[in-house]
Amino acid sequence: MAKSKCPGCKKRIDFELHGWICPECGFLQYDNNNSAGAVPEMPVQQQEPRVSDIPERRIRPQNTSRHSGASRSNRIFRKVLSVIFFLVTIPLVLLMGIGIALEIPDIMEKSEMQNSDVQIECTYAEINDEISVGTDVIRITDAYLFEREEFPFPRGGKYIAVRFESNSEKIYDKAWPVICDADEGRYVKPLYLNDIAGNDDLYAKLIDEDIAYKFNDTEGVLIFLVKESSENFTLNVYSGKNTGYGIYDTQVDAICRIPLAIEEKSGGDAQ
Amino acid sequence: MKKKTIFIIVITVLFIAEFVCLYFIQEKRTQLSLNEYYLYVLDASYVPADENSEYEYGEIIVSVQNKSNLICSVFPDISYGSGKSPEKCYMTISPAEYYSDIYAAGSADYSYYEVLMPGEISRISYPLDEDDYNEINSIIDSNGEIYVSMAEIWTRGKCYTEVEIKGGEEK
Repeated sequence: MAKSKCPGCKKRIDFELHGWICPECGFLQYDNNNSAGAVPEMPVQQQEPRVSDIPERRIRPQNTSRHSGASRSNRIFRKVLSVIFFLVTIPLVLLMGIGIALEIPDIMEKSEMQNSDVQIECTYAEINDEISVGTDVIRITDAYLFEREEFPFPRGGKYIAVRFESNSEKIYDKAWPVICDADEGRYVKPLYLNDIAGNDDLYAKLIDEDIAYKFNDTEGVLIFLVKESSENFTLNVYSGKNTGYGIYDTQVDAICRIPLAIEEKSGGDAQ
Repeated sequence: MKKKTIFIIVITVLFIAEFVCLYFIQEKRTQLSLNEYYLYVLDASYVPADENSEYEYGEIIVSVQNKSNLICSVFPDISYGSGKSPEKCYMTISPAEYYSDIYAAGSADYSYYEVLMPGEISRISYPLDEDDYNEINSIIDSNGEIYVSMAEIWTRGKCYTEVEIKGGEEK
C-alpha cells in the first residue's frame, strides 16, 4: 500500500501498515473517501485489536478535535522549547559577541604593553624648580619636619611635611608624590589626614592648614611618616596615565627626583 | 533542510564558539594579571646577627627592582635554599615592613603606605627566625652557597630571578 498524507500531522504514513492509525499523531483513519483509503476492505475485527494495542492516550476520540491531547501537548512543548531557544539563546549569543568584541582590543593593548620594554624617563629637580606634568606645572616649595604638640610623632617615627604649588587642581590624576627614605631604600606615600589627626577636631584643623594626601589643589602640604633614624630623603614625583581609580591604576612614564633638605621649624613657622 | 533548522544549527555553533572564545579570553586575562608586575631580585646578602643587629638571628637583605610601570603595594616572600631548583629552594621568609618598628611601638599599622615604585630599587629586609638561622648555617657548612628566589606567584604579580646570595661566608 502506498503512503498517504495523514490529515492530522500531514506526514506521509503507510496507514495500512500501521493499522490505520497514524504512528506520529494517533490519528485514526476511518474515512473511506480520504486519500488514505481502503479502510472498508479491512475486517473490523482486525481493526479493533490494533486500535486497542495502541496506548489509549494516542487515540483521538471521534467527533472531537482533529488532534489527540498527546500530540497537542507535544506540539506545545516543542513550541515552548523553540520560544525559549529564541528568547534566551539569541540574546545570549549577541551579548557574548558584544562582550568578546569589547574585550579583545583591551587584552591586545595590555598584551602589547607587557611585551614592550617599560621606559621611564628620569629627571632631577631642586626645591622651587618647576616640574612639568603634561601641560600642568607643579613646584615643591618647602620641606620641613612637621612637629606639633597636637600631632605627636608615632613612636619610632617622625613626620616630614612637603609644601607644593600647582597651576591645576586636577594634577592628582597624573602626578603622584612618594618619598624615598634613602637610608633605608624604601618608598612611602603621603599619609591620609585620618592617620595623622585621630579625631574630627584635629582633622578639621589639618584641612584648615591645607594638609593633603595628594596633589589635589593649587597649593597644599603633604605629610609623610618616616623612620626617626632616617635623615636622607628624596621626594619623587611620578607622572603618567591613570587608567582607572586610584594610585594603583596608573602607568608611570616619568619620575622627577627632588632631594629634600629637611628644615626643623617650630609649630608657628610650619604654618 | 528547513531554514529554521539551519538557523538553529548556526546559532548553536556560534554559542559554542563564543564559549570557547570566552574561555581563552579568561585564560589570557589571568596570564596578563599574573605578569602585571615584574619584580626582579637584583642581589641579596645574608647579614649575620651581631650585638648591634636589629634582629636576633640576622637577616637577608634583598634588592628588588620594580621593572613594570605600575605601582606595586605587595611585598612578596622570598624562598631560599641550597640550589636553584624549587626542591632545593623551598624555605620561605616574609619581609620586614618599613613601619614595623613604629607598629611594634604601639602605633597604628601604616603598612598601607609603603610601595614598590616603578623603576625603583627597594632594599627589603627579611628577618630570620631560629629555624631559618639553623637552616642557613647548615647550608653554609655543607656547600657554602645559598640561593634566594621570588619565583612564587603571589596575589597580583609574579616575581623573578634566583640570585646567589652574598655574604654567607661571613658567618
